[in-house]
Amino acid sequence: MPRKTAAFFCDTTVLYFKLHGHSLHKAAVRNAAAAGRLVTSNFVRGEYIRGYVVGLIDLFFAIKEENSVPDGISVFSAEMGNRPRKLANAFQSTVRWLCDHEDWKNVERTLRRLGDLIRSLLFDLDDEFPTRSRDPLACELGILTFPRSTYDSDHIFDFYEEFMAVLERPTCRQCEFRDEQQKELNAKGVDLHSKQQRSKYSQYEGYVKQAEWVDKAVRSHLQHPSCWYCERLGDTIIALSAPSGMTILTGDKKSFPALADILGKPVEVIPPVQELRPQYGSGYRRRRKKGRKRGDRRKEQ
Amino acid sequence: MAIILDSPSGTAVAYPLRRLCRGTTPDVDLSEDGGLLPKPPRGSSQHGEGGNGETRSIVSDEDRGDMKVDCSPTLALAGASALAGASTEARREIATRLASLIGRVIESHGRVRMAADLQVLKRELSRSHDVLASSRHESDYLSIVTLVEANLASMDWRSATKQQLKQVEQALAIGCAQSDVTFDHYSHAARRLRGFGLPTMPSFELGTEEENSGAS
Repeated sequence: MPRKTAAFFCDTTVLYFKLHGHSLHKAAVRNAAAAGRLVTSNFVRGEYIRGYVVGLIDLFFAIKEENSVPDGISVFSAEMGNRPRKLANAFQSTVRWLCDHEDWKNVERTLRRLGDLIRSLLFDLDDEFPTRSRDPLACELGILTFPRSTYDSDHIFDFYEEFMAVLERPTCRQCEFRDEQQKELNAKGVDLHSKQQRSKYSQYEGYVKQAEWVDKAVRSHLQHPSCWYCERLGDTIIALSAPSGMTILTGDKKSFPALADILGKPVEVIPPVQELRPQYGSGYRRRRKKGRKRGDRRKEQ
Repeated sequence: MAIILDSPSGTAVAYPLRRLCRGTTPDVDLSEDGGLLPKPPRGSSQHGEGGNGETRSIVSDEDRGDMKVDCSPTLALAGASALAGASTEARREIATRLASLIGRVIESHGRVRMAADLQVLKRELSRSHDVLASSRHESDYLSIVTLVEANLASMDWRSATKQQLKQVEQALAIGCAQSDVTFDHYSHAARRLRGFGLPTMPSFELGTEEENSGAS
């Protein structure tokens, strides 16, 4: 059971756990919600959009363009190697899910199912995480949405166009955020990314990678925002923008514990399913045993 | 989408196009000049004298075979109304059939026969796409159908409870009762299914224990 807190600031993994996760992960998020309010930010929402939602839009258009579901899937899967491993797992499961439907090879039906799924992802996300903290970056991807009206495939086209427009020329507060954070960290004497820190927290592979990117970002002379940086520095930006008084809630045990320790922010890590299994599994076995005994007793009577 | 019309009382009234097509509004002239105005009564100044005393035409549009100005829109509206009526009727038939099939699944719950009943339901849900997709008017009910399909594809049929199946039945039954199935009906059904723990989207783990660190 997570420790009591006023609120949990959820990172992207928690969004995945709550919407798509194993029942044990969903239960873990429910337990956290019982201990404190779940809050997220538009930046985190933007990460979900950039990673999963737009990936499914790619699949939608691949099927449409190929005019064949198997061919569309195969074109989409060929690029899977370029995606982060975790997202590739998500897409493989989604493709399998899509193929579990009746007549999945029918292009029109599959496109309609996929289209309905894509927009319902954001509707459900907003229903499940209605509370957002202020996003100091003012991420424009995080505010994209679908109209809450009758389905029209044009909505997918429009969403994709808006997404690409932001990606090509973002007008967020990335540069200001970088300057503000640098000043604040310097003033507090916090060392976020030096080589010494990287070797101190070397067991946190995720953090080490983040620190390398932070180093690059700090030395960058880019005068305008770029989504490229946010794509790589997501964990760091989330940790930096976690409001004070909130505990960071994450499923990422390879970078957040180190980041939170450096920044002096509380963190709660939801363990992988494998680690959650034994504690729930034993309870399940106990219930089964009791049930069997009751059944035996009934038989005896 | 709405069309602004002048009501007899002189105030502007917005009529949703969908309702216009269903023939619930005053007669409308959708003529070329874009004047979405109430159709003037036959034999009025349109075919008689103009405001400046000039005779425009003494032959009615219908008589000279000009279907474009007067008759065509009426026919189009009548046609659209008939089409909408037909699609509503078709949707109701589909919904009734789907509701009876899920009823069968509920009856056979817990027995091997449930698998067969589920397969028949899935086939019927899939077939209903063609009819429902042909009319934009029924698009929200088609979204409910895809929602139920998504649920059935995500659910282990042996672990589904009767209560959960009854929720699916209620979602499908929306199409039987309502004259218009709207986005609100769909949204309500989706929330209700989710509230009863029925999955409507793919489930996955982000990675193995080793990989399960950060989705960013």
